[in-house]
Amino acid sequence: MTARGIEAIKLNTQTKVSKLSADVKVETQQCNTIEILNDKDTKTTTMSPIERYRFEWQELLKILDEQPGRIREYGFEGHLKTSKFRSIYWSVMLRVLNEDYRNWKLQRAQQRQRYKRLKKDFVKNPHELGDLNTNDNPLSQSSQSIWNQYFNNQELFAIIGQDVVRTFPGVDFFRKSPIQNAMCNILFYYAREHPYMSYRQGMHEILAPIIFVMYGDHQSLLHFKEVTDAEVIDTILANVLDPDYLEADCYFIFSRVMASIESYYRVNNVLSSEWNLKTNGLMTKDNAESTDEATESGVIAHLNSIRDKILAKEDLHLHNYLLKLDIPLHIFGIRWLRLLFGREFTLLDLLALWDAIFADSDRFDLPNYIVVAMLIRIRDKCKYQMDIILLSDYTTCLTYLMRYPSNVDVGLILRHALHMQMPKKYDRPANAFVYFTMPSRRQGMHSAAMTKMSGPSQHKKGERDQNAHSMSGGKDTSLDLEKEVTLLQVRNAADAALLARLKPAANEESHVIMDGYAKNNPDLERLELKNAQTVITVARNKLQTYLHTIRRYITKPNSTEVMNALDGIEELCQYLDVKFMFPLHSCSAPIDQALEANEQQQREEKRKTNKPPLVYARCDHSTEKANQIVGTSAQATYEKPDNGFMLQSSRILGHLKEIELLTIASSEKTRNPVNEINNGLPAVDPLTLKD
Amino acid sequence: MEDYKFLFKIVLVGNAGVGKTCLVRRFTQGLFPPGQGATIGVDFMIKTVEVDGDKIKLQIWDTAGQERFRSITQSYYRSAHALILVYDISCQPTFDCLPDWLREIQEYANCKVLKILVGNKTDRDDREIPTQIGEEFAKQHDMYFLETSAKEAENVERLFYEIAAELIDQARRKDGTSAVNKNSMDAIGLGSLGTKASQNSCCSGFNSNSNQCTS
Repeated sequence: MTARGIEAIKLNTQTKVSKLSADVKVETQQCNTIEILNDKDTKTTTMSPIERYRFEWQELLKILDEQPGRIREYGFEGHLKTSKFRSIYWSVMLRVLNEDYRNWKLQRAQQRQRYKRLKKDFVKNPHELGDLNTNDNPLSQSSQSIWNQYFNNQELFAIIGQDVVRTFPGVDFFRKSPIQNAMCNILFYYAREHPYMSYRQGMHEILAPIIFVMYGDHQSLLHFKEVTDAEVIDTILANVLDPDYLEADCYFIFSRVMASIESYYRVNNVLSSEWNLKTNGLMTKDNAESTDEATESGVIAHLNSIRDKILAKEDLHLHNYLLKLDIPLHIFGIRWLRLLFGREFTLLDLLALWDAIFADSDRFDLPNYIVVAMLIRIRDKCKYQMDIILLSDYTTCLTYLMRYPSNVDVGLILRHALHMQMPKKYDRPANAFVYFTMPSRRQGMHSAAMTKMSGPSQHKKGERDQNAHSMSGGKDTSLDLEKEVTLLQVRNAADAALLARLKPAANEESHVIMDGYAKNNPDLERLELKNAQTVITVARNKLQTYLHTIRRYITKPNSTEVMNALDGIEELCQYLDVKFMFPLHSCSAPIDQALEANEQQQREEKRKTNKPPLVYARCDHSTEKANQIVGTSAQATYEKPDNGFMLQSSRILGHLKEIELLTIASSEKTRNPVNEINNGLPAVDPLTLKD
Repeated sequence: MEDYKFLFKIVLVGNAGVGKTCLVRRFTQGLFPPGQGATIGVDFMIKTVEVDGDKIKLQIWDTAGQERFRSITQSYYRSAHALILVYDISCQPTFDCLPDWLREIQEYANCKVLKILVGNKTDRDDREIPTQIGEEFAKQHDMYFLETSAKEAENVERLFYEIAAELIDQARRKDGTSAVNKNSMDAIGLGSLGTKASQNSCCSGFNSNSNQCTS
């Protein structure tokens, strides 16, 4: 688990940190994750390391002068990977240093002074102090007692030291005693300066990458100094990256990072929840109401809200599945958040991730989205073989989550997270898993609307244009649809949450022990089935959207092969438009005969005419007029069949609780028919057509 | 579903740095890493063992030493079949904290849970807690007792195999038949362990009939 981080550092430290500057090639090879090297960067590749160093420094100052906001862009876009000034970028992004670099010397001087004072205030050795209060003695329990404080300090130091010595075991850099001492000091002063936080396990691994980066920057400067004239070196640079102040300068970056993530560490129940509410705005009243969650620590509530607010919206199926397996996010999420993913990625990947996290905002919202992107990423990774998380059992699922796969592309996770957080600014990465979200608005295409467009008549160009027109004109439709989908997602999430709440209560009575989840629990299986059905519906809608988009751009398919492929996709859409049978109904709740809306009518109709409707007639070559005729006649005869399961599903929980479960499919009928595109035939169940 | 007859949840607790993770890694992976990073939150490992021809799945929850029940892992203690309370025989403070841990256990764990006191790091030559002290403490608090060394792989297998054997025994006794299966696992954890442990003259003794630990 730690090995990955360790190995990564090993790679880096094998060639002594002082020679880091020569390792640019190695680094860039390893950091093949986020692309983009802009013109400036490509220019730098032709320079000598020394020239590049100087150039980079001047660039940094220039950006700060001209458009300081760019620095954050650099963080998001992975530009800092090979930077020799990463610690400075971090300091600026975290507001440890001003954007105005002319103040840096002063700021650093103040900070270093303050750190010196911390040392003086917090470390008092009673052996060396002559003027002790007469009441003070080594046995005093008073909080004012210097002796008492002295012993407490010793204890605190021992606790910190115990973790520091095993920071990234096996990495020589962290085995050096000056580094370990500096880390212990920083953590100790932090604990003393923030008594409500003190020291908690994990903080040392937040500090470790910071000190690693800072040390690397110092070494780069030393290397630069060695090979150039002393006069050339900018005094600001020499001051800001003064190796003598490694400890002090790291302390302020560390404190700043901790200020943003201290809620992950706090165990003080009520306080942290409130704090969480304020800072993250993620908590809801629902969450706060539940007595269970009110008493749990902030980080758990926080992770729950990530699950219910972000994951449910982004990937409802996964959300429900984790609930079903009874795997709360905090089992693994606490470590993810407390270490800011330090054990989930190699160090180089981790630093790139931190670049973006620090660039984001003081509130550190980005990690919330990274958590979700990471979850979705490993469900997606094996999409073509097997959904690791989704289809595996409790143990496998948990094992993957506790030991996050090492071959995951951190760049993709980052871009997906950025997209979720700022959809307008960042596009969804092309190959990120798309589950339940609508295509972005500017595409103008909306899946649900497309369900109606099953007619092969779309081959007709005129028709197609008309469709396109009506689609782009129908912005209201798309907005409605989005609202609807959101509504459904929220409902589904509520259902799932309710199920989850019911489950432990039911289990507590009968099982002292359970294997993660109760196998064969019909309620859960229904939930799962419902999810499967949702997947089918969504898949069909998406397919149709894509089909339509393709057809719009390939106005004249130049080969029959393409034609056939498109027809094939269309055929798939038809197959996916299945009538959901719901076999589990027979197990518990008594079920009325599930007739679809108009089904009776349809059957009679069919029996009367005894011929299949013209849906499947190859009307590719028929005239527009004919299509319209078919369309209108069919429209008159048919309505979109309602989903039998969906209508009956209010009994889904049997005796436990009635929950109305809805999916997109069932909601289609509620949409205003005016908005429907009357271009072809309504989607008809192919099965019913056969008889 | 995998083929196993019983599934037991085992939770390890104890101060930071006493070697909980090393015990688990030694048992599940046969490793003793030279350095082991601090556990953050909770960790999870699985191992299937065979006792008397039956496959037993052990779900081992390894907690962070600094973590107290209340904060995170409460629910895992509640459903645990066995709790391993670990201290470091070369570190007096880790032994002094045992009453605190017991108080937490009493508050949050199932009162009938199988409790095992483990003194780890017997390979160290700077022992501070004599075996006898540990034994007596265990006896006082109705716990089994064992001294181990994750480094030397001493008693580690034995620890987990005997826990498995004891839990199976409890399950069967409760059920009154040898045909216990996964569905009747609620029986476990309700055995009359308390009286049994106090009758036992030798605290370090598990069931004498469970010699499977050598495998």
